[in-house]
Order: sequence, then structure tokens, then C-alpha cells
Amino acid sequence: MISPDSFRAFYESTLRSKFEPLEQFRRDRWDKLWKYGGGAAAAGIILTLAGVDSGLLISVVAIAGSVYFYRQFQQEFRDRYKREVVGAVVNAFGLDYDPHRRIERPEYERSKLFLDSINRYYGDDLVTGKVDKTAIRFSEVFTQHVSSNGKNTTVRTIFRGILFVADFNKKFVGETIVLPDRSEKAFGSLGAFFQKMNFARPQLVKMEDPEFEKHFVVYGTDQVEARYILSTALMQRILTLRNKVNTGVSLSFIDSHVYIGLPINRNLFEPSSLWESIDNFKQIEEYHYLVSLCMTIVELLDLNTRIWTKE
Amino acid sequence: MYIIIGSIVILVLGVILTYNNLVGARNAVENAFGTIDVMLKKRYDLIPNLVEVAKTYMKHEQSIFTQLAELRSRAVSPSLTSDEKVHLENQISGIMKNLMVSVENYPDLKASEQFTLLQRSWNETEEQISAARRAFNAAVTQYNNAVEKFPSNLFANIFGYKRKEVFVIAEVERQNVSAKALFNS
Repeated sequence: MISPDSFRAFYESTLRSKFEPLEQFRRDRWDKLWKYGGGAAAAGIILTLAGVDSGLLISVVAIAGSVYFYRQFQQEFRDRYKREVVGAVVNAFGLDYDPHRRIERPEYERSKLFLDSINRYYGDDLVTGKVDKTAIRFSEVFTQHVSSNGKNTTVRTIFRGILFVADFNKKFVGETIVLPDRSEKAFGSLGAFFQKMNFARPQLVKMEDPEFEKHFVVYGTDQVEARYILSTALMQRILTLRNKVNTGVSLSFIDSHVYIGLPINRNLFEPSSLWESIDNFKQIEEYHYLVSLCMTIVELLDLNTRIWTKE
Repeated sequence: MYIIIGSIVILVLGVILTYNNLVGARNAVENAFGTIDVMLKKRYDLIPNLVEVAKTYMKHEQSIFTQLAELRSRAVSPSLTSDEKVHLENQISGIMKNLMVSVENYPDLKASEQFTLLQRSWNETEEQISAARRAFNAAVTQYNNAVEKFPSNLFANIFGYKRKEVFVIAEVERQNVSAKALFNS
């Protein structure tokens, strides 16, 4: 784990110099775009004003060409930025990064965190690796359901954020799902009744920790197993995680893994604008924050404690 | 006329649902109690294995092993009342905790792979027992609510359903094990 302070030092000493070639590339492309594209367009306009017929054509071609090169530049910059900048930050944690891969849809579905039907599945920025004994994986995932009645199209976002998967440290066979408690919070005991009547989920598991029950609702295929997984200590740890991310975190324990959905409503691990220098610590710090948050989950949920039969 | 028939149907349905809910809650309690038994059995099965491995290393703790073996044989006998069971259970837990602390004095034993595995299984069953107890308490709470809340309390009175007690963790278990105190005793 890298603390924010030592990350600053690491940024100054190591990362900054690594980013130089890309920054050079960015400036160079801008210069060329202005010089050639802008120059040709300006020449076209001058010729048009001077009454030369082909002037307008030259301007149009210059602008179209510039737009084309700008797009290419954008694409190439984004690719390189992700590999060289975001990749370097992720690697600094000892993890691997692939900007083009993601947690795939079958796994998203296996997590059973979100049961609403979806017909759009996006995602990128897959991070994989091990934190001590615990294998982790996470990526950005964005799912939507699009419906249309002929006239209007409705797009509903089902999940947007980070989907995190880690190896869980206890053995279990059933399924336990921990979701943010919305209905009981809003409708009190009537909400609790609806939770019980949720036929899409396994049976409701009432936990004895009132603070935990206030924020979460638990469903499980086995009452005892759900409590075996959600020990009193783990419930406290999940509450800490919830307070840290300050968002409706949901978790599921399925097939010896823990799946965690952290909703974050923006595109993550993206480069700053093409206009700005990439030597921007605030931007880089955001990547550091996201990766260390996911790594902290292992520590927060105490996944490296292997005192049970699972190694 | 229809209103009267409708009201009667709703009333009868309400009665059936309330009664079934009460029976369901009672059965859930019995089921949860059964689960604790299963978990305890699992733990009793582990004891002889643990003792067997530990014995060879822990030469000075023979009295603990004798005591443990005796308690275990009493605990698995079928004629116990639940109070006796809980009492024995608490004693076994206390001794096992002491034993696990003394393991620190035997580095060879601690390093033994077989023992580590058994110790892990032990931790696992401990957590499972605790989970089963919590599940039992949750089932009892739900049952007690059904027994005391209106209108199901009417049926509870008619059919003689009484409040059940939740598991209370024994005072010994609640205190954290103090290694110092153990070594001094």
C-alpha cells in the first residue's frame, strides 16, 4: 500500500519522468495540428476573401482534415495515456492493468448484485493481482437497460462504478447477498415486509447488529451460513467500508468469492483533456485513490486472515 | 351479502396465515437448535484428533487432555438435558481456549502442519457454532414476537405457545482470554 504522502514523493521521483515522452507527443501533435491544419484553413480563408474560387474548398478540406487528425490524435493519446500513465500508477501497487479488458458480463451476473435485466454492458480498465494472499480483480462496469415503445426510448442505468471481485477467506457453499437497505429506511416496518416478500432473492436474514441492519439488508440461502460469513466483526468492517466510500455499496458472497459493487457515477481512469499538460498531480492522485481504495477493501474486510481451513 | 361473505373469507384467511406463521416460527427455532447440535457434534469430533496431535508435543499438559477427554465423552452422551449440555459446552470451550494459549509455549507443535490444519478447522467450527447460535437467537426473537404480538398472541395463548429464551453467552466466554492470567494460574 502506498500512502498519499509517499505517493507524492513517488510521483515526483519516478512517475513524472516516465510521463515525459507522452507529454512531448501531446505538445508535438498540437503544434502540428495548429501549424498545418490552422495554416491551411487560414490560407483558404484569405484566398476566398481575395476572390480566388478554390479558397473555400481549401478551407473546408483543411478543417475536415484537421478534425480527422484530431480524432486520431485523441484516440492515440487516450490509448497511450492509459497504458503509460494509468498503467504506471497501477503497477506501482504491484498490480496489473489492462485498459481494454473488464470484468465480463457472466461474472457480473454471477455476482447477483443486480438482478434488473440489462441490454447494454460496458466496461474497461481491468486491474488484477494479489494483495498478500488475496487475489483481487476489479474494473469499471456500466450497465443499462434500454426500452423503447416506438416513440420514446428510456435508458435506465442499473449500475455504474467499480465491480470488485476477491477471493474470500472462508469456505461456504451457499449464497449471501448484502444490499443497501432502501425500503426499510424509507417505509419502516412496511419496507421490512416488502424485503421479506422479495421473491427474486433468497430468504431474508435479519442481523442482530442494529447499525448494520439500518444500512443493509441481507439475503441468504442459509441462515447459519450467512451469519458464519457475516461475523459480528465483518459487519463492523462493512460499515466502515460504507462510511469510507460514502455510497450505497453492495456485496455478495458466492462461489468462494466476495463481489463488491461500488457505485461511482462518472467515467473512471480517463485522461484529462488534450489541452492540458499530463503533468497534473491532482489527476494522477485520483487514480491512486481508486486503486488504493480497492486494495484497502482487502485490509478493511480482513481478507488476508487465513485462520480457517481455506488457504 | 357479498360483503359479509368477503369479510368472512378474509377473516378465515387471516386466521390461517397467522396460525401458520406461528407454527413456522416455532419450527424455525427447533431447526436452528438442531443446527447448533450439528455444529457442536462437528466440534466434538475434532477434539480427539487435536488431542492426539497435541499430546505428543505437550508433555506437561496431560491433565488438560484427560479432563478434555472426560468432558467430551460426557458431552456426546444422548441423555443430557439442554442445561447440562450448555454447561459442559462452556467448560469445553474454556479448556480449549486455555489449550490454544498454551500452544504458544510449544514452538514445535505450532509449526506442525497437521496441528495448524486442525487449529484452522477448530476456528472454523467455533465461528460456525457462533453463527448457529446467532441464527437460533434470531429465530427465537421472531418466534417471541409472534407469541406476544397481536393478533398471533391469541393463538399462542390458545395453543399454549410460550416465550423461549435466547442463548446467553456464559460469563466465562464473554471475558477475553488473558494469557497472563492463564500462565499465572
